[in-house]
Amino acid sequence: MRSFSLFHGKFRQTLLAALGVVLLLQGRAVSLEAGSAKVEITPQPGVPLNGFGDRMGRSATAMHDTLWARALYLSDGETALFLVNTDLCLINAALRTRVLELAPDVVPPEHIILTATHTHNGPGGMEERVPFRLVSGRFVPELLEETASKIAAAMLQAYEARQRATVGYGTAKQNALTKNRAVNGGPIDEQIGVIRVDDADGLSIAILANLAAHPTSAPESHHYAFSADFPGFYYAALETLTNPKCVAMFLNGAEGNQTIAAPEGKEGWARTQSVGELLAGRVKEAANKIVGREVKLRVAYAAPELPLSIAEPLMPRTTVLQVLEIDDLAISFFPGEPCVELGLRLRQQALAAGYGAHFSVGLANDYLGYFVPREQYGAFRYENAASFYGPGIEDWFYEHFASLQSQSGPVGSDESGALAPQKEAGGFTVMELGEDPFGRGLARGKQHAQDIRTRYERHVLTPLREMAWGPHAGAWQFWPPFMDRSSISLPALAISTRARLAGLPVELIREVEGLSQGAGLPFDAVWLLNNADEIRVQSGTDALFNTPLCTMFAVRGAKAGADGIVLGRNLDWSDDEVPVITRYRAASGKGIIQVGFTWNSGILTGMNSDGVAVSLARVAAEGVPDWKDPPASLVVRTVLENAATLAEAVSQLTQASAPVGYRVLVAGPTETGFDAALVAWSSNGPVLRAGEEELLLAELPEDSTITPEARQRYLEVRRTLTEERIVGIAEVEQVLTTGSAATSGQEEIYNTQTQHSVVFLPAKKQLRVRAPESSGGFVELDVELKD
Amino acid sequence: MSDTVRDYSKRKTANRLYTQEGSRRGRPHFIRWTFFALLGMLLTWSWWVSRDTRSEGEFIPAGQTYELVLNDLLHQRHIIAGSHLWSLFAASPEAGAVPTLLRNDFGMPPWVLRNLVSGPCHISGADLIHFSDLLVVTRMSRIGCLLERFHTFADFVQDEEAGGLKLRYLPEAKLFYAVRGRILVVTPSRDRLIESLTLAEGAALGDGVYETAVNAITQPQLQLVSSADDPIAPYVTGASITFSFVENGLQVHATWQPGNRMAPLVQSLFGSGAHRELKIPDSGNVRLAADLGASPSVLWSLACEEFGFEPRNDARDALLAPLLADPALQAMLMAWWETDGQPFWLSWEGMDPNAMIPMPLLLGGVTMPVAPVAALLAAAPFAPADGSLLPTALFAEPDRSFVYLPLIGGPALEPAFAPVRNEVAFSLSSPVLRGYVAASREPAASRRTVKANLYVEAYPAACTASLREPGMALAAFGGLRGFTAASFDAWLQSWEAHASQIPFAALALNMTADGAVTLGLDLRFSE
Repeated sequence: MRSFSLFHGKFRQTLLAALGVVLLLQGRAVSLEAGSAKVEITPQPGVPLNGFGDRMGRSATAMHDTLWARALYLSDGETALFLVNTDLCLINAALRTRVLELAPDVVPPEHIILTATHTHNGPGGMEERVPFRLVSGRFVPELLEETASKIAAAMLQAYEARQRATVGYGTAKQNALTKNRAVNGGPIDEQIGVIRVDDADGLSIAILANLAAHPTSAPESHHYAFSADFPGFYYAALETLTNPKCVAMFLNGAEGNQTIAAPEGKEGWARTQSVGELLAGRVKEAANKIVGREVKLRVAYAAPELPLSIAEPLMPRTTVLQVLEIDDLAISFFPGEPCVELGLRLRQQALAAGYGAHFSVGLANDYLGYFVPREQYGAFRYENAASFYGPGIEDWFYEHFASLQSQSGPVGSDESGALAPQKEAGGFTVMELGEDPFGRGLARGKQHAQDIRTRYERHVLTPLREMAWGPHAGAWQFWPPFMDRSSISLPALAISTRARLAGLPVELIREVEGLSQGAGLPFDAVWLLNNADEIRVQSGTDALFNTPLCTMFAVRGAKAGADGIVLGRNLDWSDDEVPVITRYRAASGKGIIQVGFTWNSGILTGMNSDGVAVSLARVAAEGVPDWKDPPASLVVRTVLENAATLAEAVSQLTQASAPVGYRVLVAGPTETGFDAALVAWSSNGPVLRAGEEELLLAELPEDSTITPEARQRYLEVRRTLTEERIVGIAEVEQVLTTGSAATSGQEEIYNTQTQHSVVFLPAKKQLRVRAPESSGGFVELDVELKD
Repeated sequence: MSDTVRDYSKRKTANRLYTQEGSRRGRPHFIRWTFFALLGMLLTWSWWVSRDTRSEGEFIPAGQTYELVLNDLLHQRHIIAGSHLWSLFAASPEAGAVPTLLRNDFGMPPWVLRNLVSGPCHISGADLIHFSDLLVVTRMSRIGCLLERFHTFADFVQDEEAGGLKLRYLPEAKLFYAVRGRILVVTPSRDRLIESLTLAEGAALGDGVYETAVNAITQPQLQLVSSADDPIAPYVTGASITFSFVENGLQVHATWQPGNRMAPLVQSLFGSGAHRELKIPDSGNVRLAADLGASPSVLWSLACEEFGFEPRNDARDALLAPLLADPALQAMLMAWWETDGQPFWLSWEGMDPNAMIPMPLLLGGVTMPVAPVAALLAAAPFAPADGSLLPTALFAEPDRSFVYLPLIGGPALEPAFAPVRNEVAFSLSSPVLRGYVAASREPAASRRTVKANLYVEAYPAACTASLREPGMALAAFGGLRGFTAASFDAWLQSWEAHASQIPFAALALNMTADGAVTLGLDLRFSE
């Protein structure tokens, strides 16, 4: 008989293997712990609500449903963290700071992630900064303390309830729960993210849902009642579907331009409840498919410096960014309200980097306002109005989140910002700029940073501080003189001016971004500088830019001789600018040369490599520019970058959405040679003047609306050039320098305000530039534009 | 031969001596008598030259713009120089030099000074800006007079004949002076001194007026009288100001006769001039009580004229519209607006730094018929349960203790008013008014009162402390023109330092029947 031994042969091997598996499982099970808790944070009525400015800070009068702080503690044995969601409108820096002070000392502060659902029926009263109190109501220090204490208590309870756990994640799809509130039919985030945390017996400790939508559906009847909005219904429904100890949690996504739909066609509270319950159902469905397991946790934290903001010192210079990784799930926490496009693009980036899934969570750890995608920066919408860090904030987030992730793919990066080649030529600064729009702007900005900053101070900040710009009617007339409203009026003006970006190419926005970064200014600051001349006209102040911008004329036909066509223009400008000639290649492939200043992003005088030349003049008789149109100089730039012939240029100029009050002299190739035309942007629509006259003047002396000074100038041009049989560059030069840069008034062609004179020879793609010198003479430069 | 033994050997000497003495017997007496004679002559001379031959009034021009009489200057100057008042002007070099000047003995021992300035000091002049014609007239003692005679031995005094006027000059002090009898006349202006010494009889103040003025005062007193071409004439016809430097304080009593520019304004402001017993508010960093006599309508017109306010303004009218919507309330307000002589009080209770916009907490009351307000309070609706308050509609507090305008959120931004005894009480902050209304129901403790047209008292330290938090909140976001949070903090600290030196200040104004205004100022300084 064979003796059977427990320790014999294959049986022994099998036993040892099984023992090893058991030990392994035991070890793995011990390392992951989780605990959840919820604490009510509903204050007593009588404290202000947050979220809607129309409440004017009034206090809540009732409670519709309970507000909670819900906390999840997770630890994989190496990394421990708290993830908290609160039924608040937002987490501000003061609240976060106090919560961190009161939080249990069991995880590093960098591993505490505080989020808000963004309900607009939550308490305010926790904002010390005065301008923000206009939405969040008066500051109630006791409420801040009470709320922070309760959040900390939820964390402590979650920690004390920790036990062995497993975690899993999954996603579900939706297309009926949410909609784009900014654009009808616009993009939404179809993903519902789900994280399931189970105890060792497989019962859910917590289920987290991530969905991008504004919880702003409480009906008007409960405008002053506390409510968690649809997340409240979601909590209740999900907890009913699971088990009593399960804590349902809601992490709002990239909800900036998202809101809830009406999936069952309901209204009022019924709609809110419907969305909450449907969401709970979808989440439960997804959770049922999730298999919990031991996971690896990772929390990355940074407090990076933000891009410059037009709203400083109101807005902070640094913020908190966090990324939570649960195995191959990456969760990015935004300190504000990102629009859905940012969330979707970030997800793409994460997936491309190798993650299995990505969630975006907004309203986390701080509140910096809205973050809009670059191409929407000019759209005049609420989200843009609450965006303070420029269009580049989008890339900033991509870059910084990528740096926090353990897996990161390629992220677009800007040029290093090396200075562009620049030379002094004939007394002019000539810059050769690259093809990348951002790099072009960056190079110019760095080269002329000091000058740009000085002009920004002079042309934008000073009139705001001195209240030359700004509302004066209504309640504003009671503004106390000891209070400086420019910290509020500057961002307000910037917001309204952004609308003029609409319709302009993204490359232009990139170039202005580069210009502002190079100059060390916020994007909106440089944009305001580019619009300052038209702002002054709007305000009716007679100052810097409210003067006829020059003398322009074209010599055509036989009179122009072999040159085919000659254009001449003087640019008059009240301020002493630094003349800069810039050359670059546009996205269309055309070479561009422009004569301007250090800061102008548009084109006042320029030519492209096809021989299309343009010059722009402000003519007050044509009207006051409409604010909804882009700046005139930028329209001109767009045309110059795209038109190959005179006909194309004229067509684009007459069809462009352009501000009234300007005239554009344009020349370019035709089928038979070269010719010129004048396009006037008048209050009655665009007017084209392109006749047979050999001398095409920007303003006709016999016009009844012409100013006396302009009449005198153009009479002189006509008189001088009519006498000449052939008018070439020399003759035009002579006309353009009739007068004295030191002493002449505006009635002279060359006067104290003349910044430069330019003579174009489009057929030869040449131009000659002259600028006055302080000694009374002038400097001169010939430039040729090759393909 | 006699029987007398004669010792010629000794007596020769003695005799010799005796004889010498005998021959000298008249000399000691001569010296002695000479000495006494000389002494007598000296004394006689001293008495003669130091007799009181002149009077102060001869050297003081009549009709000066200001006259200041200081009794016992040498003692008073230490009290004045030692007052905490000057620490308030530490930043002003001119004001800061005053205590130094008062303490300056000009290198002379105290006993000399006491004899040089032994009587009242009369200071007068016309130039109130630069005091270039300041004239000081005082009386020396006999010893002082004699001491002055020996000025030629002092190298700090220069003589100037000046056509027989015998002027003296102190180059270091830049002062001219002259002595007539026992009268000492001092001035920084040579022309002024000459004028003073050569006054015609009718041009001088005269003895009678002088003595009357001097005898009437025990404290430093400044008199101002303006002539038609004086720059102050439109504002001041005459003024008398008495300074009392008390321990840790200064009291000023003044009477002001307004000039032709100010008289109509004062008359309008103070109305009939009758003043009542005003009740001083029980609390507040600044407390004001007034019965100006003029109606609010008149006061508003005056303010518009003086300060450039707009009499009518659409935005303001829109804010007031709800108050005018109720006919009874409108009637009450219109009556108040046009009625003269309604006592009112106002107190600034501090700031609410946590309001949506940091707000001052003001509380006040007007003595006027309360029936219309009581009726409004009874009829006003309560705030709707859903919280949808119209910002400019009147609502009643649930216990009907007051009505309020919701405006924008926050109790410090809810103007409220209520009938309280015989007055209408009001506040910018509903909790402040609630507290006042509740306190008014308690048995009233006796309130301080004062007889005046206008009374203001302030607690500077509390005032500056109230400004800290709201100022920092505004400066933090650049809302205070010219300040950052750090610079505001530094600026306020300097004011707090000043304010801590004056724990209390009070001012009372009264109008008299003849159109003059009396003023009483009470300043307390920290120890």
